Amino acid sequence: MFTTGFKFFFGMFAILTAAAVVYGYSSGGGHVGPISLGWKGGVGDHIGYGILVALAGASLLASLLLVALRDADPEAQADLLEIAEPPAEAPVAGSFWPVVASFGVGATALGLVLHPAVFVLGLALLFLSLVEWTMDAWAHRATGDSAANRELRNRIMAPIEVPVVGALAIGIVVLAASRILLTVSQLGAVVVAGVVSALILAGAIAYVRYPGMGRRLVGGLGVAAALLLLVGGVLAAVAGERDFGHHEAETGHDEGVNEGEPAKTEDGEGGQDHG
Amino acid sequence: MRTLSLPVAGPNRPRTVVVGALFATCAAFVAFASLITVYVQQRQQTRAAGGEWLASGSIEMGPAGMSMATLLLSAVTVQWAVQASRAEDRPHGFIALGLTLMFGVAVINQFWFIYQNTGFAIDAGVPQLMFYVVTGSFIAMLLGAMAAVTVFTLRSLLGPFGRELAQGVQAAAIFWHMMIVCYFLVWYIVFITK
Repeated sequence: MFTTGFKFFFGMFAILTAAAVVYGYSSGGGHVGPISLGWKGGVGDHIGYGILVALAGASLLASLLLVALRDADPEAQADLLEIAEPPAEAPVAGSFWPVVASFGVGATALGLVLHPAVFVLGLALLFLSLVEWTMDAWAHRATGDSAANRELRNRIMAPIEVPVVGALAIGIVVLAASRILLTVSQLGAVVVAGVVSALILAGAIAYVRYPGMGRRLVGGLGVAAALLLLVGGVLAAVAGERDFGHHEAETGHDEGVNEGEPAKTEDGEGGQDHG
Repeated sequence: MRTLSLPVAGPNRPRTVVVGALFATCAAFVAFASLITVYVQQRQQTRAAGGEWLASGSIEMGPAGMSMATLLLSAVTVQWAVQASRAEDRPHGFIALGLTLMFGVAVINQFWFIYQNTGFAIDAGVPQLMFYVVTGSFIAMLLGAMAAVTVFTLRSLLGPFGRELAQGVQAAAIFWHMMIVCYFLVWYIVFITK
């Protein structure tokens, strides 16, 4: 008659109610306050008493609904569906979107304190997780064929994901490379750009000349290069751009300054008077 | 891809999502109730120190009471949506969903009026800050409940699972009812007893 879930949560309700009353009286409650939810008399420490009462209420709700739902046990569900055997849940495929969503929640909370950009990034991660996770969950049970489910999901999401991810990747590469080139010296920037370009060219030639080269090797090298670029970009962003001011003031026509325009000095004023 | 020849997905265990939503609802309720207890404690400490919490007459009772009445009406319409989903009754399901969302938007609108009417500033002291914390948390909860009811009802009425997914609407309705209970706490503690 009474299910296991009901017994557990109703027991919790009884214990938590008693704990709330005892806590109320022992923390300064008076008259019948702890018994009447503060209607007549004080309840003592509001926070402790309130949390215990809320937990008791939640336990009571859980116990009543669980007994009504028969603990959602398989036999009761089979009976509800009017089938003989309780339906077995298909195994759920692994998903990393919950992890991304948790990062989004953390970034949103931290962004409120640190910087609006972090807050917006957190919101963007949450929105992305919401869409992707929902689509994965839907596609997972669209049909009884897992391969068809994957194909169905990709048919809907790939036209959105590929351009977005491609644009993001291009943006990140450009941003990271620009940070690195702006941080190293002028000559260093030329050297870095030259060496990286040569490496890309050499890699492309090797890939064409030796088509039997393992895909894993190529993929691994690509990931390593991306990580190097990302780490380099972050370190360069932390280090900051190199100083452009002195050279501009001396020459009057250097990087970022078009001919005919006044050169900018460190204090941001026009450089013509100084040059 | 010839979708017509694909096997149909196996049946869901219908009450699993309801029980899961029940636990999530209980957790959200305890979190919100804890926030209310902090409000009450701050108010009690301020008054014990001889200070004034919220100035008498600074909050009109009318909009808050109307919000309570509106949410009570929405408790009926959200159950209507549950029933319509179970019966795969699309016209009534959409009417019930529309009314429920309309009531939700009406409550947000009344809160907008309350914020304009009171003229509280969030950085004007602990009472005003706590007022915005509690009511803002409630509005966030209301928006979440509206999103859940919308998604589940639309999927139930338009999706491939139909009646089976009505359990999802029931799960969202449990959260909606809890949200109404939370507003009752706000109404009584923040607006009536101030």
